Amino acid sequence: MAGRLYRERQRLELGRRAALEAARLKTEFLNYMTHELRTPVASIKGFNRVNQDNIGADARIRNAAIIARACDHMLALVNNNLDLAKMDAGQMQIETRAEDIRAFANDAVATLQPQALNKGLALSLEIREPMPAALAIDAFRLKQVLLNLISNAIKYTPAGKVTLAMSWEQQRLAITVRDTGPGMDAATLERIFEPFRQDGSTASARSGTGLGLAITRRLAGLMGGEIEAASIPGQGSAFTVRVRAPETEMPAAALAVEPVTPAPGKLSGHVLLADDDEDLRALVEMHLAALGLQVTSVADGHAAVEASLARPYACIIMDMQMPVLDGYSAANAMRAGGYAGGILGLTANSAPELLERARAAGCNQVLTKPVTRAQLGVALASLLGHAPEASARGMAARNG
Amino acid sequence: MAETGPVVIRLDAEMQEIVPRYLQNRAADCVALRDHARAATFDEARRLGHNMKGNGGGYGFVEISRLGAQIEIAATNGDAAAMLTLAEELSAYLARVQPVYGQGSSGQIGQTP
Repeated sequence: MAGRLYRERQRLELGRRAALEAARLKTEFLNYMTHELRTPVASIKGFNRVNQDNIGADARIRNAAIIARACDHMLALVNNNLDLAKMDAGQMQIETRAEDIRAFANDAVATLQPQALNKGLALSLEIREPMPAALAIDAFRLKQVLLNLISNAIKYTPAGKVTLAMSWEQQRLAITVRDTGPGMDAATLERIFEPFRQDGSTASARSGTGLGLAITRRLAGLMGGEIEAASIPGQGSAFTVRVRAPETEMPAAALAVEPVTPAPGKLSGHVLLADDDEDLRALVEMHLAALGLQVTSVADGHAAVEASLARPYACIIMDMQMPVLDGYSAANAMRAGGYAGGILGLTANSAPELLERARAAGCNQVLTKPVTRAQLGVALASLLGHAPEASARGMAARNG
Repeated sequence: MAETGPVVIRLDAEMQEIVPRYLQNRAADCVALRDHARAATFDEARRLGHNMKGNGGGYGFVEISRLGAQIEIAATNGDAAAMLTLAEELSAYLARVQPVYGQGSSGQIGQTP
């Protein structure tokens, strides 16, 4: 009898402690969220007030960009909370359809490749065969899972590599994201999927909402799967998601659809290319010639400004980081000199403030290196005033 | 143990015109990078790294972009030892890389099988 009472008291005590811990975490989270929301709201309010003063157009554009980023951050916080609330209420639906799984994986890696490169990390993709050409998945939600795991791995890994590995077996897709980061101890690993928990051992790690992995685990569950984590302190971590993904076939129309890019040789005009890197010039010159454009190349910003004053180029493509005169100053000088054509900036640095600075300096668009022919084609079609033309296969898909 | 096998990069046929020179230039960068590390001329080393970061992926060599980014960071930090290590890594990669040219002409980046 006494033993049963003791066990019951112990059970109640454990329950009480768990409830107190949950309440503490929620209060902590509310404090955190309040602070997180107050920071961008203060930023929006402050910069909006400054923009009402008599300031220059450049400063106003820069401030507008800061306001836009603050709005994006708030939206991410709100969306994460809404996602969690929807899942808690059982209102999130999973909608599957046929997806080209290789294109899906490549797209996820391409999305985060600039983020990895900026930290000097290798981000690679391994697809183990056999992998069917098409799987029935909810691409939107699975992409959310993938991007969350990969961006977490990049955030926590100071050096080395991040690998996305995929395999398929018995109608289930296994996705593993491995990193060479600092890893986690057993206690952290045990709680890592709980809402509002973060491995706060580094400053960068504390910048999220603390909901990403909780959402990821619930999404995996909704997709008929699960997620597990393994980690060795000092060596890295691996997160593996397994979801139901039956083999299927792509619809005929989907097979033929391609992004709308200018067909080879369909652009026309004489463009100026400015880049101090001769290898980059050789590559871009090849792409521009294939798109049908005539090219004159120079190797620094000063030569680019002089060339822009000497003849009316249809468009100027310019690296932002060049010797003698950088792309920002060159774009400013070209605009001051009356150049009214399109300026397409190229940069190896994807930091938002630099992209915004390039636009403020007079660039109409900015592409982050590495640039592909398709990206150049789409940007130039717009800057040269050509209606983007679809490739033959893309047109056939829409017409037929 | 360091990997030693060939790294095959599949590229469009048209890339054959510019890739050999591109790889020769990277080999020259290895030599220059070692010189910069010994002479502690970090600005020039940072420029080399920055350019590699920007051009590697476009040619289909994502690993060169990755090494370029690390070289840029090492040079910014004035870390000559890291620059020497990265020059060796780049040199080892160049010794293993084998471009294979196909039939396409879309200018897309290559992949390591």
